[in-house]
Amino acid sequence: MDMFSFLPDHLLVIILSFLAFQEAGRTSVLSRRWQNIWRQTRNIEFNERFFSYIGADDEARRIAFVNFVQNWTDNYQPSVLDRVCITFSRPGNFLVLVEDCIRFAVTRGVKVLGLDFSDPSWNDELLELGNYPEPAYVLPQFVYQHGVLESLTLSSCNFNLPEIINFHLLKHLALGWIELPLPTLSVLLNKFPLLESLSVKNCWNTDGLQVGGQNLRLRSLVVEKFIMSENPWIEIEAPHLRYLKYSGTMAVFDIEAGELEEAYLDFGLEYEGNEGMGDLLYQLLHQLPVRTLTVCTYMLQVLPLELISNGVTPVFGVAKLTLRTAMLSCEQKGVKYLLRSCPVLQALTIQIVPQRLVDLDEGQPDDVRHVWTLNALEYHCINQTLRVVQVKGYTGTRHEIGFLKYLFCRGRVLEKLHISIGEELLNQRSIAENRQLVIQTFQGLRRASNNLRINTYGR
Amino acid sequence: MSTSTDNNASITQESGPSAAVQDIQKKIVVRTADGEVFNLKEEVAMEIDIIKTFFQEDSISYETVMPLPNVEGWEMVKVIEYCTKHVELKHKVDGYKERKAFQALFVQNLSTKSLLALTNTANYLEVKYLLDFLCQAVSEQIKNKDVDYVRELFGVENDFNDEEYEQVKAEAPWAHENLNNDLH
Repeated sequence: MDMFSFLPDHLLVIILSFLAFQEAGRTSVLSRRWQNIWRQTRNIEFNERFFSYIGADDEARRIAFVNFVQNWTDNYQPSVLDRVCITFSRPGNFLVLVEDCIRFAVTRGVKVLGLDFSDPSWNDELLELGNYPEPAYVLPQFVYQHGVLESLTLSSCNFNLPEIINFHLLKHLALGWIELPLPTLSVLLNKFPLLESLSVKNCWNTDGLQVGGQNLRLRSLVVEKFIMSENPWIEIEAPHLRYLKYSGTMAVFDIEAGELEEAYLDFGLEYEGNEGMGDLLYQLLHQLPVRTLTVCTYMLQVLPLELISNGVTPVFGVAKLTLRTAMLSCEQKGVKYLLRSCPVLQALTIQIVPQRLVDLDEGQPDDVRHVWTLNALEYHCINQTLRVVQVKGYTGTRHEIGFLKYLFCRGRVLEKLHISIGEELLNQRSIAENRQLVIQTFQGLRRASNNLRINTYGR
Repeated sequence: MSTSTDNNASITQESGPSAAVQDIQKKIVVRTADGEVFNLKEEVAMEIDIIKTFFQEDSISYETVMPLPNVEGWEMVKVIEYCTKHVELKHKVDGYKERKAFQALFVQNLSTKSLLALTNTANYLEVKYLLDFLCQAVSEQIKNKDVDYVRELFGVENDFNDEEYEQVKAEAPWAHENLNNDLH
């Protein structure tokens, strides 16, 4: 018996609209009714990358994309929708189509509008070399009248600053691949009274980054690959900020965000490390009163170089820590540093990522074989608070094994140890064989916690 | 709290100050399809648009018992539960975490069939935020599942013949492959 038969079509449309466009498209083959429901979804994504299945012919892919968009907008029946996202690089030859598509969304009361005209061939190095791409599109004039917009994403899309502030209901703003001078940023932050989240990716200016303002209601700030001056600085004054994500080069941070709960830090664009950088990292961590923290390999390699603490172990109130690491020898000092500094840590996640060696002024430390197994140090969190440890993308390298054994033997209150086997190992052996190898790791060792359960997963 | 001029609700005279405070909260009474009777606090009842309209539009006295022939007793219990929580959280500065925890528990023991029935009821009773939440909960059951699973879970019958099926698939081939790796 079809459980959906008791529900009217319009409810099915609401349900379906919670799914991403691509996912929702799958339901079209369920039945005739569902094919019709999909055609009414209020959550639409026109993404040229969907058409990569066509193969290497760029032109053919773009034609297929354009035809799909044309077809969809021509035949769409409903007069109202919620979300339209367009991802289309080099829109130059299709300006009319793009404008029609945006008009299609706006005339139907769209609340969430996403326009991404960036070129997938643009990468990090482009901006670093000072090659700033010109915006590929300009937001059409008629859009500014659409005052009900709640969420706007503009990537490589220029806009008119005095007019964009017309979106007085805007809660979410995301900008990418454009120049963002400080005065512009200041206007954007202060003229949207309901702004809750701001995301800035692959942008640049000749200065630094300043996020602040009276009555700033911002709850989430994401800054990814922001290219600044030679001496980059970042000033954040956001009393309601809950979430901060920063990915890019090292900078001098000045952060006032007393309600910050979670921070994600990734210095993947920073290649050199020394004591001074260590000090900056130390100071940064002290400005983040977070319970949830994600750190990167750069931090693990450079943070222990700091001198500013004079040997006094810092105390952070982090309860949930994620380390994005390859568990190299040069990172172990950093792992220990953080374990020492997070006395109330409850959950630790080790996310295995590709290796990256930071160029340290003093050169790489010696390769220490038994960092963990001979570690006599007692960490408060290991003894008293750490209950859950996850390893994602396990590769079975020396220090991963060493650390797991260490946790097994020393983690007094450890309840769960979840190991998710990485792709490399899964390609070499079956999941059962991998599981066996993991179990063997702990053979002959005595567990510190009676409640410990170890689980090994495939993908 | 506004009082309607032709309101006939009387305040029971009872001893003790707490009793008087309690009874100032007016009650609205509804009867569900299975004959169950529910006393709702006014502020909770007013969250349910169909009830709000019934009493306010024609200024019907609160002594009238409103019939809800399309609603089962158990559904009314759930709706009251959700609306009461919603009203409670309205007065809180930051109820985000509490709301999330409550929502998780709310749907935890609901079967798929019950979830859909409740969705229908929320639609009938006109409680928008509950309807949105339930629709999202249903969508979570479809998310990341393949077509066969969804068919089986919800009992949807395939009324396409082979040729039509392939045609529908061909309308958006990218929707039917697991292309996530290529996209970003």
